[in-house]
Amino acid sequence: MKRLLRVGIGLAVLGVGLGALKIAWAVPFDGQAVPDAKRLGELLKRPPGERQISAEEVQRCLGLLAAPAGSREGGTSHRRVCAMLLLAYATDAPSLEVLRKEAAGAESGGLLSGVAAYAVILREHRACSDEDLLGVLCYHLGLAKNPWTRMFLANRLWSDYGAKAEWVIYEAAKTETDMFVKADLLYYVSRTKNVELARAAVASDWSACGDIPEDYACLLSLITPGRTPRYEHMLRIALVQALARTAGASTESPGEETKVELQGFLELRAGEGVAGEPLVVTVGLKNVGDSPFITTYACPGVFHRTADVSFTVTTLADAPVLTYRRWPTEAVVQQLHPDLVAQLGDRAPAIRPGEAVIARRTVPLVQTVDNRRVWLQPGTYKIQAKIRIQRMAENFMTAAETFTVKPLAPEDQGVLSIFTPDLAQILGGDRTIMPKRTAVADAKAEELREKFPRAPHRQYLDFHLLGVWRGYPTPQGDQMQMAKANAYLEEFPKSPYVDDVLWRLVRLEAGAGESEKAAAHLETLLRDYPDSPLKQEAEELQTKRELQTKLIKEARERAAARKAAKEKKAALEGKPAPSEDNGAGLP
Amino acid sequence: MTNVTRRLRWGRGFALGTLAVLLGGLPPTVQGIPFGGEAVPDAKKLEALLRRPPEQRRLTAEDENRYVEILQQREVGGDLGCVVALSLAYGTQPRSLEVLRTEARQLNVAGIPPDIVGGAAAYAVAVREAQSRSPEERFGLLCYRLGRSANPWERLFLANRLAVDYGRRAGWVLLEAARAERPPEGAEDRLAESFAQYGMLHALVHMKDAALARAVLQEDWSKAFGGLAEQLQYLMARVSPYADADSWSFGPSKLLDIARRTAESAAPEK
Repeated sequence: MKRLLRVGIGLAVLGVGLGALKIAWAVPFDGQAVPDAKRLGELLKRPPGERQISAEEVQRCLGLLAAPAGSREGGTSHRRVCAMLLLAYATDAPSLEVLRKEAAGAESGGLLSGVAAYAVILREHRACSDEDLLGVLCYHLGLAKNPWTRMFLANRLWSDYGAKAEWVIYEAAKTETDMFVKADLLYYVSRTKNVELARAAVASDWSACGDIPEDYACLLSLITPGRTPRYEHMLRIALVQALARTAGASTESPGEETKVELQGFLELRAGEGVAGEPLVVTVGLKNVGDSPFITTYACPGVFHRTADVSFTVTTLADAPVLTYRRWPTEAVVQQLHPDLVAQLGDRAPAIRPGEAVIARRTVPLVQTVDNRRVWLQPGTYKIQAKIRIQRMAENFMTAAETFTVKPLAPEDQGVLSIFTPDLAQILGGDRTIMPKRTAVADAKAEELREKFPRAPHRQYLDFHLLGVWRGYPTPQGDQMQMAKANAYLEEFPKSPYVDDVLWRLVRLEAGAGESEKAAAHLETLLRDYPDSPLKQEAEELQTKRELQTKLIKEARERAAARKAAKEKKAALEGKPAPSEDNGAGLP
Repeated sequence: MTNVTRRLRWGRGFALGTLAVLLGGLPPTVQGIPFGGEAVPDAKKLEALLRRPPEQRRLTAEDENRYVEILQQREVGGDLGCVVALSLAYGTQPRSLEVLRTEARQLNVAGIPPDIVGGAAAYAVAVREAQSRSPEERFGLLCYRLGRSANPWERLFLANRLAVDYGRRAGWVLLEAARAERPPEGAEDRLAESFAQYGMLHALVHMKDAALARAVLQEDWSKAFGGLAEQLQYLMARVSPYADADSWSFGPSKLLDIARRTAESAAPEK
């Protein structure tokens, strides 16, 4: 009996251990930093004037910071960050000095110096009343050169002042240059219940928001009331959806998805073109009807549904800009109305009814504003648009629809589970590499755009980013890229980048030994894209392949002839014919 | 003449005047650059406007249209341009906001000395954009903008706005902003930044708050210029209903004396 009990206890301990391990896997925030983060969370629940750590805690934090970073005593950056955040609520002079010393290089943008700078601001204004501190924090949010300082200042403002600080955080979010901090600030803005703010925020451009790294999402969730550790790269869309719902909260008949009224715009990114020259443009759609806007996002995925929607191209003033460079609205203009052509007259010689504007990379430039956006002449041109909404976006919107008054409350954990499989599929099941890879990928995005001089087509870039920077240098990685390329070709057959994708696919398939498929794609490339800049390379490869095929064919013929001769000779001499596996045959 | 050079001329003019005051021996004709006469009536209108509560400050449509026209003229004088830009902070028409934004964008260019009309226009844009917010929200937005501003003239006017509209409540923010005034580089930058710091000191000592006064006395104000050029004295007196017009002629040491008296008057008797 005792033995059974011991086994039972042993299994229970093992179970708990494995459970803990599972949690550690799921949240790659340094487990040793979690107690300090939780302590900080408890501290921050108190009113600002009552936040103070004990002398023992101060000594422990100082001991940690005094030891070399990365050492057993010095701990990881997570632990050091938490120590500094705690020291913001110390009262002794030595710890303030330590923080000041750490903060000295904050302008260079470092994490630890940025956090220290934040802690110094709080320490130096400890004596301020809550009201005075609000102004000081707003001021420093504007002044701080370090994005981490700004991130924690915004956290403080939102947690301690709520609605009073919403507009300031919104202003800061709009101008934020760090993509991660921008997303973080957007999170706070998206919590608003202020319809006016939500409307303003919905009309802003959040395309530069990046992913929130998993570890900092975890830390922020521990120190921010009601915040869940969301870190996936669809977060930005979720946040804008939440804002859209708040923005539409005061309308009388929200949610009529089937009668969405859209306005379209054409966007030219800075420096990409010259007036009068053919351009690649992004076609975007903005819901201007009463319903909270929906159905205008598109993300990479395999399945999609299509819906015919007519929209009106209007002027800049009438079409608030809403662009998603990272996950752009995928609207393929199928047909230009004859009225448009008639209206444009001589200015649109290359535009004919039935042509796809994006595919031709041509847009009539009528009005240029700040050399950034190009607009069609004001009018009421009807353009038939086909919007492709892919599965992931649909899933996401389904998830977004489940958002209620408090869209991203803890109970929406279920939302995350809806699209986690898609994310896992994209990332090959290994989510832990995502933040690093994403950072590299985003850093390389500009480089890629230069490498491929045609204007960016995000799905195309995503294909490359996924394949080249987020993928794996393994056969599985190659398979992933091939699948992605095939899906891309299926979904965007008229993309101006099909030749590039085909070329990449040929190389991948050839490398994987799938020569028949490679040959077929190479043939398609040469046949269907005679003007491709890749033609020369493709022809060279085709020549090599033909030569190789010819050589192989000749070799096989020679081998067959030799084999036949041997058999004939053996037959004449009355000997048995040589067996198939005796090595004779190939040269 | 480009917009930028035209506007800079004014800045250089009173910069020279200020240097002259500091050096002490130059002819009074250089010292006493008068405020542009053409701008006086509008400066007085602005003064009257600022004596009203923030919610009641509205330009008449006639004035607003006239100011937009003035601001768009190529040869507008610096004094008038500055007053007009400051006044348009209380305009209501989208067109005037657009003109202010254009001015602010064109006159605040990295690499050229800060321009006073550019600073005033940027300030006016900040005030306009916060116009429909509640006083509480507006306070935060102005503080944020004060931190973010790259133009010391804009900071000077924003600090003034905070001091006038929020009084003692803006004290710690202004003290923080005065501390953070960037180290001077070029001669004109140096003057502008020192003026901004001086303006903040001026506001702080006039709040007559003992704790603030004590904090002020602990700071280093050696960078703050006193003896503003006459034209800037005039302008600042118009937009600062919280203080006597004469006080803008005080040097930093005299302002610090006021702070000292405030601190002492509130000190517990021994």
